[in-house]
Amino acid sequence: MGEETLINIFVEESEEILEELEIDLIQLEGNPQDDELINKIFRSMHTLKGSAGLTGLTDIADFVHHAEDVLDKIRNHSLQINYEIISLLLESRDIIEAMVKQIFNPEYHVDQQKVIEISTAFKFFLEAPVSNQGAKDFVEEKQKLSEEDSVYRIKLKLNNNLFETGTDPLGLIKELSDFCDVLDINVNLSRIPEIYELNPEGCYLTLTIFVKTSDSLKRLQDVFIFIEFYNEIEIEEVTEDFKDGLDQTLAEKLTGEILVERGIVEEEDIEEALEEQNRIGEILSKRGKVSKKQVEKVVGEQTKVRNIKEKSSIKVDTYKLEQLMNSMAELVISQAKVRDLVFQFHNNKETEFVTAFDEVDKRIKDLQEEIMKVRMVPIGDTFIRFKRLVRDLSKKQGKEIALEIKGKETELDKNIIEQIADPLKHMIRNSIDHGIELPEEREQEGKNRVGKITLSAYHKEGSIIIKVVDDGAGLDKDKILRKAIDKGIVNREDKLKDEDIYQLIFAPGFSTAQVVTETSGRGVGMDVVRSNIERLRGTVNISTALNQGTTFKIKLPLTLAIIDGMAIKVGEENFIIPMNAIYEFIQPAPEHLKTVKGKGEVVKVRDNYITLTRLHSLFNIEAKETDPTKAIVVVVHDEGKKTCLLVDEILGQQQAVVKSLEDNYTYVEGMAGATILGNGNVAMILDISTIIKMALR
Amino acid sequence: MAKKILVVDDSRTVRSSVKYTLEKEGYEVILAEDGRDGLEKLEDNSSITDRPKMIITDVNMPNMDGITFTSEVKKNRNFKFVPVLILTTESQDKMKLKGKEAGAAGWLVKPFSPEQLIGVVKKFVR
Repeated sequence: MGEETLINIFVEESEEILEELEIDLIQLEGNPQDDELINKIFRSMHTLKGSAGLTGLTDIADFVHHAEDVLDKIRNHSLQINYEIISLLLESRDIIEAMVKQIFNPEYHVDQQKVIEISTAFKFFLEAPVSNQGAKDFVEEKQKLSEEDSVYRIKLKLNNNLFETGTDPLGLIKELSDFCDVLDINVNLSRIPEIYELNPEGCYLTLTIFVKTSDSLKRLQDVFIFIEFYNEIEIEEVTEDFKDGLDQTLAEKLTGEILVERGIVEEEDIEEALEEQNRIGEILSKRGKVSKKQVEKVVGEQTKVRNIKEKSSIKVDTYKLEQLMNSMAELVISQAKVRDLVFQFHNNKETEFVTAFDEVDKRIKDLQEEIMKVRMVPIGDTFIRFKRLVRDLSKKQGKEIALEIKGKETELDKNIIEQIADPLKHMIRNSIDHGIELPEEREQEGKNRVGKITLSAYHKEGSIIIKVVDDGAGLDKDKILRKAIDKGIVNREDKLKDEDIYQLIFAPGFSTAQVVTETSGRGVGMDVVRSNIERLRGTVNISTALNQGTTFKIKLPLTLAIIDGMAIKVGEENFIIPMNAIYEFIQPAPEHLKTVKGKGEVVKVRDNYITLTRLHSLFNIEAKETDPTKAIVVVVHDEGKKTCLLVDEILGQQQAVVKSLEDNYTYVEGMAGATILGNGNVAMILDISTIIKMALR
Repeated sequence: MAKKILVVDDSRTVRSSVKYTLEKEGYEVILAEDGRDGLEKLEDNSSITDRPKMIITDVNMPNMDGITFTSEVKKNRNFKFVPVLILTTESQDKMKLKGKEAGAAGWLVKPFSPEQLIGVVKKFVR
């Protein structure tokens, strides 16, 4: 193996390690006692040092060496983690990254001053006396059980009429927390009856509560003194199992055992489920015995304790994945072609023929779904990486900001994640720069000094929603409008709705920053955000309230590659309307058509008037039928807005493999892309969100 | 807003000492002299914002005893979820069970200390 290839491998490997390292370091700041994480970070640095040395990159190896030493000290608990150390490690990570980049781009700048500074700082930490035994003990104490502590498992099978006595189960837990550390609470939902048998005033809960306390068992029993008559209460000491704070027995146990022990399900439920020979958690959650979250939680804990000894995953070159995806896409097209033939040639006697094709159809759909899943990755890592951004920027601007992350397990197409990271970064920067106020200002407004930015992701109706929410100053409508008029983006006479005014911050050349900062306020950024999102066939909305904050809501398709669509025909042209945009098909009666001044043609659909969009005039083509009462009207919707599309003919539902118009041709307003139909014809995929905007103009 | 507690007892000494102890803890206390009076006081305080968060009642009282009072409370749609604490004496151990059957949430054995009273009340009204 030549030196060249060795360096290639090193660069590739270190890029991966550095990426993980950043996430791990940020995580470590929040969980400074996570020994496992410290070990992982140490190993990452160690690998970097080793590989760099092996490749002959002594500069890098020497530099990493210091960081490794510091981590070693942290690992031995002789150095305590604090803000400075994390900052230093993060900065050294950046230096290593720059050094690695410099290997192939000699012009790439590595801040030598910084290298010296960091190395010096590391030396300082290394020579610092073995620090702060007291603090270390405290950490240990919090995590581990002290001599006097006992752990109890309390199982409460609450009586159906508990509420009638006026007892609140939450009150019991609160009372426990007066003198106990409540370690965990699990709820067994299996007693909840079907809805028609359910007494809304009844209590169907079985709680299993784990508490740690130095108080007596008697004290614990006293909590339940009034409910012990009619409710089943078991209190059992389980201190032995919790020697190191974590339940040591988890590692060897089966998921089912743990679920029973935690009181989330009964043993019978497990036995019943086992008969089906499937994964226990899945079955139980399907039956409504436990919630999916509960299973995930215990499985997650179990995995953590098991220490992921064997990872059953392999790395696949993204290129291979792309190829797989392409072949899949071609298969979908061929399938559409076969489908046309099947329905063309089959007659009623040959139903077997159709059944067999349906089978193939189903298999292909399954296969496609599986392949799509391979491309799906959780958005968590991308989110967590922003913690660094928030951490560094808020410090620089003297602001105090907490970043909260929700729905990090939400999965998105890998391509989308890669392309959404940048726009998200800009939005978060925008929230930090313009949204969150300085701590003093916030206090004057009666808010918490610490501002909050929440990043969340979730699935909704075949789309992914990502939200960036801040609790800052909110957008100032008048200020934005003044600015936009000054910059000549809008005219003074324009009558704009609030929504449209907020959207102006996405206009090219717009920036309301009082001071131009390093990161935002250059007037680029937010306009790039919108165009990037639109390129992903997504939309971005803003809602804001003065002094309460701003919410950016991004809506993205699950995948860019394939959509479910309805093929339609206007004149000689074929179009695809995405299925999730279709509301209904109608054939309006003559009396339901009207022309309204300022709005143009409208169709009355069940007491609502909806604008009529003639696709033939929109795209300047010849239609077969221009009379809406004879043609077909498709009601489409997006984000609560509707329009009626006038089309000649409906060809049928099909999956469309999206080919980007921009890559192959040029951007056309109102088109999301093109696809090939089963008969070999090309069809344009309509971008409903843009068409509605065009229609309402 | 202070949390409201209804105290029903025919003894003025008990009423005023319980009232004193509870008010010192920041609760608002309304008083009734027997079960019937208790039901009337509840009617006066039946809107959702006025309702007491807890009821403490003696057992042996003229006009209407505490057990009947408790079961009447539990029959009333507005108050069925309000916890009732009955005050018993050492000699009335059976009363605990009777109270439970009538729907009481708990009991307190007389004589009790202010700390014991507060401890039990806090089980129900935090």
